[in-house]
Amino acid sequence: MNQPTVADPLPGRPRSCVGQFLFGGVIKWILLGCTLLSILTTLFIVIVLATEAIAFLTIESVDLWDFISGGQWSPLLGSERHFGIWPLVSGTLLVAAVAALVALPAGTVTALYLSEYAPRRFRNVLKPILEILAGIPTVVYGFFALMVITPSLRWIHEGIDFYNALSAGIAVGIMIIPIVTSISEDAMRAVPRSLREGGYALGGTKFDVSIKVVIPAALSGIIAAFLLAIARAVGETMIVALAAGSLPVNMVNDGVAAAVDPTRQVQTMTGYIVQIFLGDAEAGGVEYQSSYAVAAVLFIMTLALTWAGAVVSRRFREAYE
Amino acid sequence: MKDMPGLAPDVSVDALATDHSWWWILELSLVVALMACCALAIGFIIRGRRASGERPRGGLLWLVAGVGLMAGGGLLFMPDTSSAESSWITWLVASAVFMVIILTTAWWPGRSAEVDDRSNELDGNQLTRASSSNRQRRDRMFHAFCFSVTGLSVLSLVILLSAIGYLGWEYLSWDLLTSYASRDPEKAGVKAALWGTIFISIVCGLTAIPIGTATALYLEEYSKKGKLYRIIDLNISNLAGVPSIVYGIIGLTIFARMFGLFGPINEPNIQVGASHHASYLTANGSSVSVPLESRDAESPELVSGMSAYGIEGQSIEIKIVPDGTESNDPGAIWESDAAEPVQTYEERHWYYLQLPFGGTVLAGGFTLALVVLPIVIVASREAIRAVPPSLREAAMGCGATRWQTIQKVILPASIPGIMTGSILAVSRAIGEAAPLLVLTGILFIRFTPEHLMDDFTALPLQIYNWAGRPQEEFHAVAASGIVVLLFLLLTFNAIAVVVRQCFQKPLQ
Repeated sequence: MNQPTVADPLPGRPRSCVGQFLFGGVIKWILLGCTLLSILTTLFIVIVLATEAIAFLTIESVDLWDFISGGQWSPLLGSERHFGIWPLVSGTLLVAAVAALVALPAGTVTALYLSEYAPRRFRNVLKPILEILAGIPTVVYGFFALMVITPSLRWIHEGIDFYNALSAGIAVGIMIIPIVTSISEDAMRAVPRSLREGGYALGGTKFDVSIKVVIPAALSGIIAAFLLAIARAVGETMIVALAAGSLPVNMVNDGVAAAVDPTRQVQTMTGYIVQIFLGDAEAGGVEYQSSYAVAAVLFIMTLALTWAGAVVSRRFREAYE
Repeated sequence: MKDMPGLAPDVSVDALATDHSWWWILELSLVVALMACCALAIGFIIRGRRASGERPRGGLLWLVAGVGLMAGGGLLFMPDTSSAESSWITWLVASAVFMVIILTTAWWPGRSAEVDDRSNELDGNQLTRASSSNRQRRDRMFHAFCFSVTGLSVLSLVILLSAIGYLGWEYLSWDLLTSYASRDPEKAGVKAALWGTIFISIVCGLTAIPIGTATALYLEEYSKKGKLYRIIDLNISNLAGVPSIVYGIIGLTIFARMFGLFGPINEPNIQVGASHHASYLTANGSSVSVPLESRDAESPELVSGMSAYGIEGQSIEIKIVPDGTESNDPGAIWESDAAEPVQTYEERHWYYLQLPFGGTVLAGGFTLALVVLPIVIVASREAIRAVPPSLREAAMGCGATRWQTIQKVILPASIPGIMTGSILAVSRAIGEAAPLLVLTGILFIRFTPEHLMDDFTALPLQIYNWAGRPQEEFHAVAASGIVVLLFLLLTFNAIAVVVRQCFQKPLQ
């Protein structure tokens, strides 16, 4: 009986079948190990932040209730020390709110233009430009805020501090426009063509179809884009470290209204962490440990936002086809 | 930021804000560009109305509105620094330019608005165009609005790049790349920062790309789509959302300090590739050194006949002489100097390693690898998923094991995609400043890294340092540093595009 000669499909592998099998098994475990590294990273983040934050909160001079509810953050004042997280949180939220005001409308409208109105050739030019905008390092935006946005704002209006939340917020907003645009454009393009055609067949203009068909259908994706973009704005560091200042709002002395004034200088959570690690405090001191607690709060906030984004895009997605 | 005494002690923050003599140019360019966008939008509206057969009076109304808008805007934004006469001339010229833009857009011969719209798809516009209604007008206005907003997004990029180019050209020269950081802005350069960035991005790439690809391979090729898969999947998307400064803190705790398990950073418990020396003063004013067993070893008292090393590494025999003796012998040492070394120091070879890492190149690279790992994983998964199942099944059908399939079929087909994503991820790492800021702080470094355990500074850190200083000259240096950084990133992106274009094979 003649064995048909088959060309070796995998040349150069003299190893036996058993060898192959064992080798493949080893490889599988190596790959699994690499995969578990990402779980390990998360575990380390949680463990390190949690232990250090708990260590900070159990220090005698720190009051847990004061930390959660206090309106005064003055860790470097020696005897007059107060650790109330709200000034930092409000600074972060203020910058994020300004950024959202800039980026959410601009990003959504840009996405709508790209997906509905723009001719294909124009879109092919615009998308790489937005990708460039997304690839610019944040320290460059910080420099831009400090050198261009702040002087412009101070020129338009006199009473704005040199370091202010408005300028940092605008720069952060410009930074997150591409995030909003790319995610919501994906969502809009995923709306099936038949829905649009139906709208046009009823005599709708592009405006009607965009507002009444495309946006409602893509709403879950758009909201997810908003949440992810705001998460980025909350975690942004270099822009606020350069342009927002380093003085937390004192809500006890200046009132809560001062915390929502974007023309003042604010300190965000990330800004405080940078300040501490740049050497304003000795390693191992109370101020130093407080930065871990602040980082834990920051981590929880961004995690909640990312998670909410994932849930919204999964749970409320209108599944077509 | 720390003020630099002696350079410009009288520069206060307020003086800095009002002393800018250049930025009104940017201001003006912003206004001009904004107005140009408005002019374009108005021109398109008029064009649309003309095409839909409306009476021209409506178009004229829009024209009047446009001129009014520009007049208002011009008066509002006219810089009061220039004299009244020149500002009027500027305004007249600007208005004329805008009029020309509006008129040419609106009355440009050839393709009309109707033809333009047909390029997309057939929509309700064309079916009802003959009878123009409110809805039609609203659609055109909305189109113009969308166009203007998109234009603003692009405009912000143009302003950003032009501002940096304008500020940075002054110090942009070859010297910038070949000189170290300095207190004098004229002499300041980015050499240490550039090499630091190159070192840490190599470490980051060599760590993140293999691990990321391996993770993607496991998830796409091996893992059952069960509970573990879902947990890892969710975990990766969460990791991508963690702020980079948190990674900096984690990198500091895990890599730089190693939880304090191996002693403090400055006195690492475990060292490989370091030799310790004690140096003694000689009678002729030079010094000799003798090797020590370890960092904590007692420095020996020198006696005649011992051998030591001179400054240039030459072997010298020691001869103890009484205090105050003049001698030209390089090995002659006074009795009192022989007892105590002037200092002990440590020499590090190129393979030097220590635990804990400290704020070194290796720790920086690992930290950045943590930051970009989720990006690499997501990009690699997409590249692997793009390999058609038919190829995989064909290889399996030939009797290949799973690993053989991966090695011979899936990896070759997906490597271009993986490389593109990885290069973009590394370029993201190059621009990251926050984690490194936490890890190393701001260091004044005047050397390039020589081994993985050297201190370093990176381009974004150097830019942050310069941008935060009160002196305007340093802002210009920062801008030219940014130009270098952006050029580096552009190169990386170009490589990514080339990889994608040249090596991507059509698979379907």
